[in-house]
Amino acid sequence: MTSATHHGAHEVKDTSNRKARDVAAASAARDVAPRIVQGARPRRTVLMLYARLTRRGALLMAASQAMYVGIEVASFNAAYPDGVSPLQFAMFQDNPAVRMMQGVPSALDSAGGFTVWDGGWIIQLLLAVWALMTTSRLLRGEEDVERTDLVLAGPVRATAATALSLVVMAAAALLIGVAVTVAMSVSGTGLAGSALLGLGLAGVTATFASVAAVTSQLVNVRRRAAGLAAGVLGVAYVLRMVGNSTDARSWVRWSTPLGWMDELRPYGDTDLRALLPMLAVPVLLAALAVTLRARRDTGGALLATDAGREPHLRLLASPIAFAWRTNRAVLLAWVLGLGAYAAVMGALISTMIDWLAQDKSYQQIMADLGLDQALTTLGFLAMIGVIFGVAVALQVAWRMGAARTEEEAGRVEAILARPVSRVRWLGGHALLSLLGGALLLAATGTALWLGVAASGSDEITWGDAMRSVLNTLPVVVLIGGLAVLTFGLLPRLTVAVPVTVSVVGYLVTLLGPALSWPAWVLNLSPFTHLTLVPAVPWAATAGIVMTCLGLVFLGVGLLAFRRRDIVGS
Amino acid sequence: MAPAAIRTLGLTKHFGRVVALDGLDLEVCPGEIFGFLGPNGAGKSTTIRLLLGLLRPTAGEAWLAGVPVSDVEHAHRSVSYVPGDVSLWPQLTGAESLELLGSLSGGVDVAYRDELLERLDLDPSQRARSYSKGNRQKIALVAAFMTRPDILLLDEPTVGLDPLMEAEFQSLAREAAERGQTVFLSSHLLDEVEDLCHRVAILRSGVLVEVAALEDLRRLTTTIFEASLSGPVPVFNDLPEVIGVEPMDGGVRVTVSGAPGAVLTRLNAAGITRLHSQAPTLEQIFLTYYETSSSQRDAVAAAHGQSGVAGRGGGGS
Repeated sequence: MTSATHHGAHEVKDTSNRKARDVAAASAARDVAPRIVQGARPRRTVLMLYARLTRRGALLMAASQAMYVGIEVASFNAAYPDGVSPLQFAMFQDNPAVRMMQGVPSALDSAGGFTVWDGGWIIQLLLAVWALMTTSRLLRGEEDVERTDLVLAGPVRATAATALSLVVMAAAALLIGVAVTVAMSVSGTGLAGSALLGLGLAGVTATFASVAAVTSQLVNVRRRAAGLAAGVLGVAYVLRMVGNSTDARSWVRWSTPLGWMDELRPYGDTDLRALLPMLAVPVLLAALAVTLRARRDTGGALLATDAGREPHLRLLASPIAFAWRTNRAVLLAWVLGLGAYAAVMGALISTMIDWLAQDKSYQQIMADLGLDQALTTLGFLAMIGVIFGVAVALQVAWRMGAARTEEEAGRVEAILARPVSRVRWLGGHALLSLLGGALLLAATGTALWLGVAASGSDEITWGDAMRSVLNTLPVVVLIGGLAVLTFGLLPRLTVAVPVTVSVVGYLVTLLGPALSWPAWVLNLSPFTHLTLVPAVPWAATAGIVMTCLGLVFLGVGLLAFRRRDIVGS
Repeated sequence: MAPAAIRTLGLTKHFGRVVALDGLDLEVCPGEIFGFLGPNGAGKSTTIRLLLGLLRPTAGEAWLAGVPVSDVEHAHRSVSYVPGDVSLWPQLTGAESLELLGSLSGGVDVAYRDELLERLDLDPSQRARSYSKGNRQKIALVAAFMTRPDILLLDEPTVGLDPLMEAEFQSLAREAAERGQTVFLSSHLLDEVEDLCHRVAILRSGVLVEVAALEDLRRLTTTIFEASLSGPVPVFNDLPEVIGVEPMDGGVRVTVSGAPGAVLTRLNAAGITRLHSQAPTLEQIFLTYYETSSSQRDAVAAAHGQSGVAGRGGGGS
């Protein structure tokens, strides 16, 4: 601080010298009181700015992931008080579907090993998505609205600002890792394993932050930078599935950030070599991002050219047509992504069922646990259908978030200043999000069936596959209606409320019974009211009630939007 | 000798095939208020962003106070910037935004900052998301002036300010220049530039078409008189300052470049029943400027060279 003040004083002296040079100017200048002068702390200031912009999300992620692993440990202790039996272990080990989804099980006899295997992949995906969204916001979102210009007009190099934002992301990753470590060791899973798990999760988070840092240099506009990074995440996930499919292909795991945790195995048979890519790759990618930053304009990009083009005048004639035009690409991406995932799952069902049919003792265990429905082909299909229902409900919530973004950015005012009623505008978005959700469910069902057919099985018809996913349509309508309702009443929470209800609801239905939660808690979740269609008949009453409730929410949301102010960011 | 506050040499910027700035040579002296004029898309903002090192030049070089603009850590010690469309961090209050921007460059004169807040009538306790465009602009202006930088790069800084605040901005800029600070003011508001600037540069389609002291520009500035006359329309052929005569219903429309005395005398002799004088818009000046051949301009300048500062082009009827 002392040196900073001294520097400031030096600047003041310069100014007075210059005044003395120009006597006329000096006499014209106003008298100024003795100045209190702040010193320049450009790097520290930029660091604090990015820390401030990131801290809330980082704390939320740290707390939620710590809670998540805590719940996993508690579920394990409740469901397997004596640990997973060697037989169950062997079955998880040999099941390709389980291996590809969750990873190769390791140390399943301990709560720590179980947590890494059962929840690790979801946590890694969540952290990766958070890291790439946050990094692209810091490195592209800020630049898109030219706030970065104000920072870079100070004595700060663009490369330094980029490096500092990545330092903040690294600190956030470390914070999340420490939170998970603390939660796991407090839960009694052992400090060494907990620390390795925390370090590994921090490494994965930092890796995808640096991936987004690189894509933020390649393309302009935050949406594109985040989309490109999400594409890398998708490839990483597929590579992990390939690497985990058989032991012969396990080397592939080294090529994907999502496979390193499978190599690390924090709670047993640990391979510390996996820490090397987890810690080195983020640093190398960050260095690459900073190098690339020096080679481009602020606001520019290395790959993008925003050259003029011929006008495309289709789908500009009405608000709903325009809403379709602006969001169809995202829907298409969802159809392709979820469809590919559904096809893989579909292709694995028959393998899974064939393999189960040979293991009578495992079927007995499952029956004892009350999970015998899941052992039938159609029951297994029904459980997969619900997973896709969650995904589509999330998509519908995010789709309404796109309408909120239009309002936040002030663009909706240009439309509502014309003779377009609010109900017409929002109703268009609501209709498109529900139709999009239904289309996505149908595409997913078809892809699921195509996967089944490709694997040579004829146990599941197209109708079965469609019914398994369309079973969740009432929940999708309910969540969509909730999103519109939130938009009407609490616009800033348009995405947060329906997404939280979907995720928490699904977890309650999934984990609640194992944790012996009371029925009224379970009944709060919409997913509890779904039956395992097509294994058992559709729960018509529950379905109709949830659909109607969703439509009522939607209607009330439309009316509420008519009565409130338009609110920007 | 002190280096130029701003100097560019063949500064060029291409965006793909679009030439945004083509070989700009410019020298701005310390203590000068320099106007940078041009229609939308002429390359004004591109120039300022190049001076700030936000854009990398396709060709050419630029210096701020003798420091190459690529060396931002040194060059920006003595520079402040106000963009035309200010975006602030919505979660920060005005005071927090000022603290942030002040800590970046250092050298905040706290007493002067408080005076600026008062003079610009700004409440810094509001969150930035609740500020109007004009108030965001004021935050950026306070942030720029409060460090008393050697060079102020202002990109259309008064867009969104009301006339009172615009006047306050003009006194701030004048005071800064009197203290020896350099003000580089990009604008398309001719009035503002005329009131304030010592010299101006005119940019068109990325090409510098003129750098002139304001006096010289005024010689090229035209005024249009619309006179309703009771008598016959006089003849103006022998007056070199008259560059256009159009008959209109019951009178005449005369375009004058320079001092209007002789024209008014003749109009008066013809019996003025109604007189309307029109300040030329920037567009008209540009049109005059571009459409008049250089020999005509020289003739106009020669005709009025001896009369010193010609009458102001501004003003209403």
